[in-house]
Amino acid sequence: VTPHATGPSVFLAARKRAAGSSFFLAHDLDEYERLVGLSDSDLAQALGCSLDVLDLLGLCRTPSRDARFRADLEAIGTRFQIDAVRLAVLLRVLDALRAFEPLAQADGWLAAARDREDGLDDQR
Amino acid sequence: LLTDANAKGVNPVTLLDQAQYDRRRRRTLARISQRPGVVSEEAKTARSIDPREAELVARLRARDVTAPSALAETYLPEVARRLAREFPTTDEHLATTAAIDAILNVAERPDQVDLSKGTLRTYLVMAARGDLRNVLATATRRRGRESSLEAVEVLALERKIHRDDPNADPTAEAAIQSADRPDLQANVRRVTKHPTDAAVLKAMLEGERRTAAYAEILGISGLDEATQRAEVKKVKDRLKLRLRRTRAPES
Repeated sequence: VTPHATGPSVFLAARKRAAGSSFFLAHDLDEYERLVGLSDSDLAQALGCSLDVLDLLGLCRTPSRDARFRADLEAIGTRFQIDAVRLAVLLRVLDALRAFEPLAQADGWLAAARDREDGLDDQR
Repeated sequence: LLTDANAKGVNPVTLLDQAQYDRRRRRTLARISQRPGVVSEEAKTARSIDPREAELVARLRARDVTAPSALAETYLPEVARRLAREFPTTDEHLATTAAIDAILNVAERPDQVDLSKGTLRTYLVMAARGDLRNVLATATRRRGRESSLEAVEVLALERKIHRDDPNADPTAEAAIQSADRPDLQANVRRVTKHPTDAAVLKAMLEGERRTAAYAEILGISGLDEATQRAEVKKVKDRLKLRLRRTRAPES
């Protein structure tokens, strides 16, 4: 990755901005960080790249979740010299977490309802 | 001759029919294009498109996953720097955000770029500049609204006065309702030029009815009650009258 005169901050700002659109990989990375509770440094370490590379990585289009998935990951891996398998695992885990998130929320509501009922029972 | 030419479907100047004319034109243009130093229109267009830009746009259109990142890496610092130079007094963060938005927008929608009309670099700079100008215009309007808060308060008072006045002109009321009208706001500002007047108007707007409160604003608390009442009424009437007089003409 070529260093720029304006410094890396412009790419960090771009990655954060891109996280708002599901078109970009930044959206996935940001959500993964949030769901798993990682910092940027943790994520960079997990992917085996620097923070500067993480910024540019986030500006990639997110890999298609179809037949192109593997080719897309390999293209990203080759471009940024990162392990495509690690990124693949991250994205698959993220997709699974997304699938379970509504259930987790529902479970949270049930738990809250149970707590309330318990409280009422205690009062009785 | 013209009638005859039209009837036969031939050009009255060249006396050739359309097919003959087209054939001759093509031959002539081909001859001219072979002369040294002459560049065909196709060649001109092809030469003006930067092959690297064309390749990048093609990659974006082909959904190459790394193309958006390459676009940002190549152009973002330059576009951000250029905007910062063009808008030196503007918050750098705003300029950077405009540059970022232009890049992300093209990454998501590359079809909007037409390289035959201009370079990708120019397109990005123009898009970012347009965004930034819009943001600045919005911020200026917001600041204007905030700074004229007092004027708007007075406008509200003026509306109240007219509502209470059975002879109020309904069309004038409509004009007052448009608080965004700068001419109207300017008139109201003239009324509240003096700080004491502004304070009295504010108290009126807040529905203050006690003479003592107005006497305090006017600095006449030491006078007897009857004089205070008379003085307060005089000031309030004067302000109401001035508001009516300074009301902007109907547009």
